[in-house]
Amino acid sequence: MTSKNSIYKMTLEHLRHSGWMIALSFIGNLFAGPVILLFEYSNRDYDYLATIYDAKEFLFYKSSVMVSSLADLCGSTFLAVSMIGALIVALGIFYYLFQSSKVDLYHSLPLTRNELFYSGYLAGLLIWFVPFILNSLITLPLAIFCAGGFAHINMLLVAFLKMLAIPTLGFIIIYHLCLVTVMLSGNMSNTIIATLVWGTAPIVFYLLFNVHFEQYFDTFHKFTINEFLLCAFAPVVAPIIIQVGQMDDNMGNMLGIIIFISLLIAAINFLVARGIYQKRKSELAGRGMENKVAALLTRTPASIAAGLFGVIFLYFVGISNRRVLWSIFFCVFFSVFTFAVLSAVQKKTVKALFAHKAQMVVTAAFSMGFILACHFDIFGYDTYLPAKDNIASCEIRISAMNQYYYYDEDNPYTYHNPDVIYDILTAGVEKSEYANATSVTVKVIPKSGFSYYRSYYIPMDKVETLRPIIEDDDYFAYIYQDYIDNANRMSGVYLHDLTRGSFQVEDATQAEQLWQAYHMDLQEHCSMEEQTSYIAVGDIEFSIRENDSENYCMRDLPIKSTFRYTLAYLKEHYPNLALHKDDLKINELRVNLSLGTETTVEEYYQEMLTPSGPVKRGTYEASEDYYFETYATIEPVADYECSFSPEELTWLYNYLEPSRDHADRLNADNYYYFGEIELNTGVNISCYIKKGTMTDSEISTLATIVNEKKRLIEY
Amino acid sequence: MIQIHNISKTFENYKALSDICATIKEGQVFGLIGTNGAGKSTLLRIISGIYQADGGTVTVDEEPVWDNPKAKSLIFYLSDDQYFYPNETPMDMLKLYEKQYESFDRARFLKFLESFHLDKNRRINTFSKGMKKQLSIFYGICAGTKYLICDETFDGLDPVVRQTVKSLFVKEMETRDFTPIIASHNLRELEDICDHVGLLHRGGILFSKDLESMKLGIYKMQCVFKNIGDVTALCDAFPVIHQEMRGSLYTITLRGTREDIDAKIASLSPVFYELLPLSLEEIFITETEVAGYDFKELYL
Repeated sequence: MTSKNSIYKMTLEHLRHSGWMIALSFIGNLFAGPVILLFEYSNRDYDYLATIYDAKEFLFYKSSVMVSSLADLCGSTFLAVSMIGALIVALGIFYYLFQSSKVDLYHSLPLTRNELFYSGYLAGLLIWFVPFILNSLITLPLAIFCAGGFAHINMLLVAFLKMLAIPTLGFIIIYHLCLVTVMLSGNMSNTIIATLVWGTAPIVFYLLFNVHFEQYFDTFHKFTINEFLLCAFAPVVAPIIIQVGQMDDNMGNMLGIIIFISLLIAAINFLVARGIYQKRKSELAGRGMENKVAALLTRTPASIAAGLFGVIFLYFVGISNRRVLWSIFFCVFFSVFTFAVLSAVQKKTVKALFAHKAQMVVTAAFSMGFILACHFDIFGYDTYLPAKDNIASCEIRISAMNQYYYYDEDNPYTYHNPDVIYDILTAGVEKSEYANATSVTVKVIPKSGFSYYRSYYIPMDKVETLRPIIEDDDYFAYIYQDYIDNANRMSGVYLHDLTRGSFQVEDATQAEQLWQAYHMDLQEHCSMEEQTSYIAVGDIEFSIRENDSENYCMRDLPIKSTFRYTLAYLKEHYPNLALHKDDLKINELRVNLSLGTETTVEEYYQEMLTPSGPVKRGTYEASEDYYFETYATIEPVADYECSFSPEELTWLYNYLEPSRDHADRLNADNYYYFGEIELNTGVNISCYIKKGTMTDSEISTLATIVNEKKRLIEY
Repeated sequence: MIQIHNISKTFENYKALSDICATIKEGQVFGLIGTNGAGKSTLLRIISGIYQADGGTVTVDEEPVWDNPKAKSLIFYLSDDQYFYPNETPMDMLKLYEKQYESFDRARFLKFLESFHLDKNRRINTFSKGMKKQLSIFYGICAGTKYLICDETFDGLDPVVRQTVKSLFVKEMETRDFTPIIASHNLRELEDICDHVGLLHRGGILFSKDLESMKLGIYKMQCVFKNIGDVTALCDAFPVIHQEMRGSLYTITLRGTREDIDAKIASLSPVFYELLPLSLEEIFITETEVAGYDFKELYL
């Protein structure tokens, strides 16, 4: 019998004594929502909007930024707060179970265990949900306001619902898991440990098995679990994966199933927690983890994971001699140490360090056996080769040969020649045996339909085994999805930062010549020669003619060693085409002075919106103290062209980075924006000075030069 | 009526209670005494529905007490270390009990606070141990439950308050259906107030009897006989619980009826004979000694 009235009264009683949690929840959610949104709004760089000159367009982007902030930033912070909050709330509400005198009070009240459980459960939900909903409701109008009142309401509402749903899912999952661990434990430390172990064990094992597993454990094994399975085994990660958008890219329609599984597991946890609470012994209060099964399920996975981590730790330590012996040592040590510590914590006494000797030995032996089985291939996993006539097909991914291939995990390339597949499987070695090798991941599909993965390295002396695949037309078409398959589609080439303008194909002959060059480049690009390193100075972008329209096949391709035939052809038309930094010469340096300006792009466009008239660009005030504005502040108050002497240019050039590749790194704060250079290729590019490369006196010298030049122009 | 039938309770490998049977009748004061670690608090927690017994049943007015609000609403449990929320005042705690016990008498509670000079708006954690005990007893009395379980609640009260509380219990019993169940090591206190006593030892119950009938069944005498054979004859005639000799003076505790003992003594013609009153403490020591709870040999 459960009385709603009793639950209601006891819920109020719980809430009455949870003022600190309510305050904490409100503050946490306040910072996760409204504060972080306003902070982001105040702190956001709008530098990437520099090319936008239309006020409406600017507002559109601004609105997009707010949508993104709401769904991604606030969603993430709300999720983080909710997951931590779930642990705190569950512990805080049911903390009485850990105190004997408090248990006496609660359990002597004329209430059923169900009523006590539900009242605590509801109080926990309210403690988190009410502040969360309140702060979410504050966040939404703030986002609309920050979007300048021109927000796309539909997009904002969708973002708002996402911001509500994912943290709620995260809270429910952690809250229910934590309820189970609270019910099974008699004190806080054991509850936290059990929650961490059960909540994160699948993720830890996933990471242990998935990240360089074959390298650490000397096996060809390739862990093949995907996000779907990960979420199924570890619902704790489901909201995180959904929040960071992994699901959108890789899982597609699995999203609904993942949410369903997560909620199902949460519901099971709820029922388990309630069931345990009904039978929970009051005398557990203040004790460790008395439930033997729960205690075992906590310390065993943690100890096995620690043992496996011990082997990885070996790599960080950098021991290379007697690696197997050291692997065993680290594995056993980490495993035993973790097991002993957890045993002591669970029993709340150091005397219990070795209370479960047999279990400890079995756990350490399992961890050790696992790594030895991998290393010595005890089960013949690595040496297994299917019979040729039993191979149906394989899905293959070749990397390291060139990095500009296309690969879609959901739609992998499938190869069917069993002879070639068998040769590749035979040629596969471990990385440790060959320094010079290319990696191949194959999923072999025997005729039985059962598939298995292997992660090999193919040594360069056996790389020919891959040639049938690499020269396969289907494979070629697969890895170059934007392949221009005939000259008729060749429309033109854009050479970013290599020269001014673009090359447009004028006739069929030119198209054919350019296509031939392009095709030779691709052939070379797909060759199995290792590529040399280079400094990229620009991008090459082909435009493709397709059904009366043009689209662009943008490849962020470095120039020196690839597409050399194309460039050689184009160089006939562009004598000044630069292929390398060394080819670049500075014709002229134009410095965009941004002295003393505080005008940001946002204010700039806000001024544009004023109905009072022309754009105000701020007032330039000359300053004795010259400094370089960072890249973040854009649209300087005035432009001044400075002509430098050859000596000055030579001196300056030592400090400048006239490279788009390097410029891409300028999101970091370690560069000063300096100005714009006109190159000998006719292209104007921005250039930057790395912080610290110039001494104060050199900066002063430069300032003096710039000031002098400026005056010359001014007067 | 509370009926305890074959109650057992084990903590890990330690058997705290073993096949306990007892009946607590309405309208009497039940005293629960026992050696240290005998399982008094465990038994009281089982009666209150806090602990679940491993075996056996406890019924309160014929309702099983475990997870049964109907039965639990008849009981108010006062532990030896009553919990009060940190930073809360008596008035704050009052809200909890008022919500849970429908017949809680708020006015009477406030009157108690005033009469005993307990500041209703002062934080409880600033109260002395004795004041907290008083406060918890007031909550217990004012809750209006039929049974009030006091686990060493009288310890820490000053003599005046102790007497007052005893009087309060008596008054409650006169005015309504009220049955206090008191566990204490202070047997002198219990002797004054209890009608019925249960003695626990090592998880088992040694006896559960009315105090008067218990005193009637055991007698302590001091006597001097001419012949030592007379002492042997007396001890052979009755079950002797304890026997001590100082010179020619024998102190003998034995079981039997007053008439039979008097008749036997008369037939032996002692030089000196005196029947001494037996206190609850002596009964306790005597009975537990019989059960092997005797440490005298360690220092004698």
